[in-house]
Amino acid sequence: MKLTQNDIGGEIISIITKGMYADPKDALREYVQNGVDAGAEKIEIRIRGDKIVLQDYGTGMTKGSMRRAVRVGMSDKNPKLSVGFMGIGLYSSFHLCDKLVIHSKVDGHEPNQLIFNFKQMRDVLDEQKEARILKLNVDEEGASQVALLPLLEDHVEFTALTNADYPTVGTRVEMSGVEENFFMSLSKFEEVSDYLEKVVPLPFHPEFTPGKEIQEYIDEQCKERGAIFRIITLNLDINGRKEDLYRPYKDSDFLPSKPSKPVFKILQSDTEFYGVSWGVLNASNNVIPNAKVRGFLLRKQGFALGVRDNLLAKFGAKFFNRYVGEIIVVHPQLLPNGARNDFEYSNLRTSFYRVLEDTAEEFNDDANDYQEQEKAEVELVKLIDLYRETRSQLRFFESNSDKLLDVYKTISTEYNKFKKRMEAGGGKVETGGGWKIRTSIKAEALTTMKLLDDLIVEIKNLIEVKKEAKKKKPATITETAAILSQAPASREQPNVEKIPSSLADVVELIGYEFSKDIKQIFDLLEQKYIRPTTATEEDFINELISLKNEIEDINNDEF
Amino acid sequence: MAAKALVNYTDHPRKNVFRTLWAKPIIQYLNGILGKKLVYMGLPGIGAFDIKEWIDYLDMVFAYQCLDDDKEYEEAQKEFETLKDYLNACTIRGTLNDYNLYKGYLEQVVMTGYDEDGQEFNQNDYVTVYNLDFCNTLTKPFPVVYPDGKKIECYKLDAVDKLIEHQVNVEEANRSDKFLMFITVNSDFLERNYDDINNSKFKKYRTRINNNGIDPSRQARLIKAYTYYHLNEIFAKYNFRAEFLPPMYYEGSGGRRISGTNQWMPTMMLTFTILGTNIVNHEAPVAHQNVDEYLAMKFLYANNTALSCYTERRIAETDFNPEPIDMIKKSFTVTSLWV
Repeated sequence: MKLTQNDIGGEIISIITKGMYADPKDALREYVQNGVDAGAEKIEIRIRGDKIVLQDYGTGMTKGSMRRAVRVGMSDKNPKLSVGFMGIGLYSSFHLCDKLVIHSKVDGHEPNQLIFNFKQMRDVLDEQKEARILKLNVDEEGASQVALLPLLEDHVEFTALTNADYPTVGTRVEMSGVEENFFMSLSKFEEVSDYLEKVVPLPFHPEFTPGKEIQEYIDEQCKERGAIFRIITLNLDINGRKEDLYRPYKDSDFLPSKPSKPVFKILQSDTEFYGVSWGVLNASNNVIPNAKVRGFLLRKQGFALGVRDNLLAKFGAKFFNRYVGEIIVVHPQLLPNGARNDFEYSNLRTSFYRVLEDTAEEFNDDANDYQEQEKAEVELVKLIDLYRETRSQLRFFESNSDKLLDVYKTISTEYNKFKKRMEAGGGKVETGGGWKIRTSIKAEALTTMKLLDDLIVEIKNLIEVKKEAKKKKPATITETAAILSQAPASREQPNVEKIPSSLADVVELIGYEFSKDIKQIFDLLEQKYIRPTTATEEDFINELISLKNEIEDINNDEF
Repeated sequence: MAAKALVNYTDHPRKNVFRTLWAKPIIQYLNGILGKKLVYMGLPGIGAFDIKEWIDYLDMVFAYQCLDDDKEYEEAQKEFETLKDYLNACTIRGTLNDYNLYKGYLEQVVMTGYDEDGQEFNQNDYVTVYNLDFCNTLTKPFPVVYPDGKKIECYKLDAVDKLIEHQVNVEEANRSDKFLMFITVNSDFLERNYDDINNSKFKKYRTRINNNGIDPSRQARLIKAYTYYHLNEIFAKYNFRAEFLPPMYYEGSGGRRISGTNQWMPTMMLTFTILGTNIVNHEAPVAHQNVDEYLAMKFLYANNTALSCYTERRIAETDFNPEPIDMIKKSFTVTSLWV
């Protein structure tokens, strides 16, 4: 079948660009991408009212490249080396502005200029549509409809310039007559910078502590495997407000916690290297407070594909939002789809996602281990405190057999629980595994266990020889202090407030001292007046807490 | 039709003398002192004659341009676009690094932070040369409307105050401590404003002017003193020390016919040249310009081709050599603060 140039209508430009670039900011991404593909290390975007200018300092386009850049769906670019390859990106501002002017200069060559009169093109297509609606001047063959070729020929101008006209090596893309609806949105600095920070390959923010280590890792891995991953310095200037942009992560995203050490995974199968990934967990085992950055983002050579939540299903919900991370794909045959929200369907894509699922599981395991290590550390803190408290108070209750039994039971239970989980080593909680005690606190944990063990034995002996022990002189404060000095230092456990379990506890916690007789009176009052008013143990505790708060308030008022 | 589409804007010879013979050498000199091109802020007009004349010494332009109310919107907008295209072409050619063009009156944009198109006003660079060619009177209020609908009467001095406030708020990396300011005003003056000045030297000066019957330059002399006094207050508020060179007195392009006669009364204009220095980091006390010397100096005068001293025989005033480089080199700013 023989076709003619009239078989491809001019409307195709409008249809494709409308579908591919739904957000006006997508055009910025496309032109930045062209700059990156041209080897630019620095790009400036200036937005002034209804005019947008992107200046890249890349290699520029030769006369031939500029001539070919006009083509639709044909690209000179090598997908292995470039992110853009579809041959349509230049038209991404088709619906955004009235006129697109491109100046480009290659070092040692004269510059050239391309002008795309998009408004005129849109007007022609609109008139054509109008005519179709009114059934005017349209033959059955549709020959009167504007074909793509003459549309471009009539509305794209190519001009050879001199160095005086444009002396800068690189490419300058100017969109003028930006539609009012778009430029109102594009004049909001935060809106544009948020978008670019997410989608463009930028350096890490200086206020993101793990950034340097991550970037070095990515660079090293890509270099080792001959893969390309470039980042650019991007300066955004909207109506005079000017800032260098960075990837959107900052330590403050983790507040009140902080970022933990970054974790890296290589994405590869036996035969393919897909890329690298990094993840930084929230040190406090909580969701990252800043919803804009939590989770993992898929990137192709630095350019984002889709949004973070797209990978939620691969990771599962439990740990995904505790991470800030990126999956950086550099495989030349994994190509972004038109909508730039995923890769094109292919067998390779399927294999990649299989690898990604394994990687996600590894990240989840790491998060789980981290969580267990943190828990172990918290439990160890509790254990040390329990030891110190019991040891320092032992001499006060060593003659009280009830209390001795009570304490014996408590510390034996805590000791055995910790010992069991420590001996079980790493493993998942759901499978009954234990904790991975961090090497840094292992010695401290062992000392604590040893001391607790001694204390248990001592209490046990005290119980057994209570009568004989009564004859003994109570241990002096000096002796207790000497024993305590062998114990690990007390560790701060923030925000842990002791909960009262009896009325006597309430009074004691507030800071009053009292004798055993008074304690009995408190116990009696508790039995007679507080217990009967509370249905459950929980209500009872709540009642005590509220009583404690009220008494403290009275005290505060007095002051 | 083509002829009608042409933008109608004109220059006039006295302005050209100011730009080329007076301002340009000073700008060139400042360029040398700073060791870099200047950041310009001003009202260049559609023809952008000052920018074109000084382009070799400029790096960045902040320009204000309102649409001509006497013209159809389309035509006025087209004129505006002409200025915009010129500035844009300068950035393409690399003769300017950047520009910000605001649509509307300077007072409106600076006070509200937005121009008529809703473009936000941001001054991230330290302005090193102002050319505030206000054309109309300094003391006439201008109604400024804020985005929330609030309307206030704004004076040109309020706008200058705001501009100097912006100077000190520029981020440190872009900050400098020197600037040059040209302010052009119509010499018509609401004289009652002079009563606000509570300073014996300035009161004496008025008495001296009044005793000599020297109209029409009497009004211009009062503005010379009034402007000096009030601008100095603004500069001092932001820790700047200012030195005023003799103001330039010249016939503007407008004027009026005196009723009942054939006599043409030109509008007399006054252009101030001010050297500003931020003294916040100066440890030793910085001297002030001698007010008496400033007030006693003749006007600088521009005819269509040259600069001279303006001599008014009825009042004794000090002569000077109207050569800009000579004057600036001898200024206390350059001798004590800049070099």
